[in-house]
Amino acid sequence: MLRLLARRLLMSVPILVIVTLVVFFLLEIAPGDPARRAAGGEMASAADVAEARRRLGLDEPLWTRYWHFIEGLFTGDLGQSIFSGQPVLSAIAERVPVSLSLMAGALTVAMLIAVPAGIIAATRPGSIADRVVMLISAGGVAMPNFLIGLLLVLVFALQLGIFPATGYVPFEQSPAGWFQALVLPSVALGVAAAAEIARFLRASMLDVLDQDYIRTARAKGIGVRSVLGKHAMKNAFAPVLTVLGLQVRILIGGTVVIEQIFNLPGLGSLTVKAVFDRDYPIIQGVAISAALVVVVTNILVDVAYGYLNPKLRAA
Amino acid sequence: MSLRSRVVPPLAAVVTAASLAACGGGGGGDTANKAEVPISATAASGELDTSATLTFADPFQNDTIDPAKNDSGFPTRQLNLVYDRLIGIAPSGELTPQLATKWEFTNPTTLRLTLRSGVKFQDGAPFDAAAVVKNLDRSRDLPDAGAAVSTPAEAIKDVKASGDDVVEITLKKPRYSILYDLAQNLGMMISPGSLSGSLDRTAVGAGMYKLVDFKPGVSATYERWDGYWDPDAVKLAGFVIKSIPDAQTRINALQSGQVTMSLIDESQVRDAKGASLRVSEEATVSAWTMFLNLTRGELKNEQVRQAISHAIDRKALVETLGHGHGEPAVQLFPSSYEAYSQDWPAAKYPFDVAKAKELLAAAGHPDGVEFSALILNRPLDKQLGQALQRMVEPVGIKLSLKVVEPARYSMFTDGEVDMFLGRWGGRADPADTLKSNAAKGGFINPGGGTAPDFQALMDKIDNTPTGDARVKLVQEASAIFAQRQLDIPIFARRSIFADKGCVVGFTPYMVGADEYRGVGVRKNCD
Repeated sequence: MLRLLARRLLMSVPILVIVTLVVFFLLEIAPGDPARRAAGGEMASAADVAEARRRLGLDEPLWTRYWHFIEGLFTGDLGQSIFSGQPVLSAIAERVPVSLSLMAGALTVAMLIAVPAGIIAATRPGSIADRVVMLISAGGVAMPNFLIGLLLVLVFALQLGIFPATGYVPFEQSPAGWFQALVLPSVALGVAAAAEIARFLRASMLDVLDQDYIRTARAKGIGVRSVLGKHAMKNAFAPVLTVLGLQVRILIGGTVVIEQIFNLPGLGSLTVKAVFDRDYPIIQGVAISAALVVVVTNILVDVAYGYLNPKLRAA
Repeated sequence: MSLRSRVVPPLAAVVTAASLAACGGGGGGDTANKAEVPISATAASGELDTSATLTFADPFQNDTIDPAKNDSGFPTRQLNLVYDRLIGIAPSGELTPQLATKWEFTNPTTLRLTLRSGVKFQDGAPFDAAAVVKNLDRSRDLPDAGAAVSTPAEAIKDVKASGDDVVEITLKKPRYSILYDLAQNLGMMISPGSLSGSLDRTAVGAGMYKLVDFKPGVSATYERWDGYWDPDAVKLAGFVIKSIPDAQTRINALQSGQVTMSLIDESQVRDAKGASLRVSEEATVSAWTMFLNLTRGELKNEQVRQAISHAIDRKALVETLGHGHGEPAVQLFPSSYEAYSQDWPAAKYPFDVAKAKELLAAAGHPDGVEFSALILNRPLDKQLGQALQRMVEPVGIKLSLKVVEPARYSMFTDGEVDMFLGRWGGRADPADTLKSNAAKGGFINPGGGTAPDFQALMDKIDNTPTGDARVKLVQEASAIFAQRQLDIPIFARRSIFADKGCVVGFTPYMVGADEYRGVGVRKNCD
């Protein structure tokens, strides 16, 4: 298992290097001049723009700037926001709890819906329950999360007044408020993931339930719960893990939209503003952070895969 | 186009209509009555909830709360809470005393300010002439000051204290508009004790409210400062400004009671009223305009510009783009503004295809002309561009639209296109607004093209002290601007606020940033 972990960690290094290259050079060719924006926009004089370019280090050669960027990654200094002057790490650290809370909430919602739905559908294939689960999950996959979010706000915030329509409450300030603020955005973000996972779990479970060892276990008189929980789930869940890993990537993208709709001060809203402002240090910092999350998630999925399927540990 | 702007607005409109219609029926008689009282109405002190915190939903996202760096106009409403300025601005745009009680130009380059005595900063330091000198010196020396502060600060030659209560500002050359600069960020007074550190996230001023917490792009939280020199202006226990860029999210927050007041879009007014929200609107010095590069092609020809102006159905655009909220304009100012020339109402350029064709033929282009027009990739901007394109086509004017991301606006100022179709918020000084748009050196007048009589008048205004005579000259300049259509304004916009009828004493500002002097919240109101 340790070899598997070491191998995956080594493989993540070139991925991260490629990410830094792509992020850095894409921003370089993107239209818009951050120096002009930092100097006060269109009313700035050429001298003001030149001074801002020098102050921001944008007058240095491209590779020098890339090297400074890489150096900063190793020393934990990702620079400062061009406009707020806030250190990038500090800006990200302020926003990360919001986005992580939202993603954790969405994954929780997804699993709470997907696991029972997938199992029910798989154990009664062709039944009304199965068809209902498949129909709803098809709808869940098809419906964009912003539409679900707006409908949730309409019903549960504006009509019923059960949950807040917007905003975020830090956990340390009020655990109850934090929970309340996250329910609607988590559901909005998690429904599509739930539908996807439920469909995969059903397919995987159907495949496993058809295996000889399950038939043997049933023939031996082992109870349904034990057959499902102890024998079928472990094997059926391995392919689902892959989907779960993919969902994390999709959820990161989804937070951008959901954070706008619910006005959550997370990484998504920080990114949107940074992109429109051409705040390069912030964009680079967020992109690297998101890449790290994806890489770490993939490693965790691989390790869990290895745990569930010992054959893969040697692969 | 961003995902948000592509998918949320159309859908949001549908959902809003449904939600507001659903909620609208629930409005009680009391709510309806509250909605009928103007937001500017004052209330007896017994009716006010002095323990209340007003939460305002602001579409703008402030990166910094440093007055020298945050110079982008409307977001400065956040700074006005904590920083008083040397000179104030009334909602209608006139200059009023604030930390300076009196000002006079002893000669064209020397401004003498008499300061309010007995004023303290929020850290207890006295506000005096020495503090003003230190503040203005910082603005002059700060390397990363924004252009709205650095440009007027560069015009200052020297600042001297004369005793505790008098300051003399010597200018390099006459600049009477310095008074307007001192009524904006340049005049925001910071406690000398905090001038040496970073002011991006902290603020110590002499304003009505103390800054408690500032999260860039997210929120700013203030609490009442009991030591304020004008206690009658402070009617609230606190003030919170939440940055909510999405219009639909702002109105959701308002309806669910998470914010007290919000800026809303023109398209939301009808639905907001249907939901028993009070809607308050005010004319602003911000107009949808065809900003022209007068040095390019046929735009040099006045008759061609006038032909374009006649080809535009401004009333139709107010009804569609502005949802009925706005005023057709051929000047950069709304008719209620002091700089507006009554001699040139929008009616002087009626929608008249025949007249437009006649002017075009007289200009030597009976077969039509073609222009390139830059548009920012935002929903309303694109709607304006497409509407104008169709309107002017029957006259023989072809607009080739170039839709770009906002960061590429410089294509216009770099002279790559004939015109830019969009909106601009204007300046506190109406002369500065005209100058920026149509005089030599104006920052949104690429190439510096202008009309000689307009330029001569602007030069004269530069050397005329503020007052009635200057206002008259600005009106004359605005008339020439309109007559010659140096840019082609379409309609003046309005700033629109919604609340549940609880806010009192608030008058939206025509220019610059809103202030909240005397703004309060009624008791038992939600």
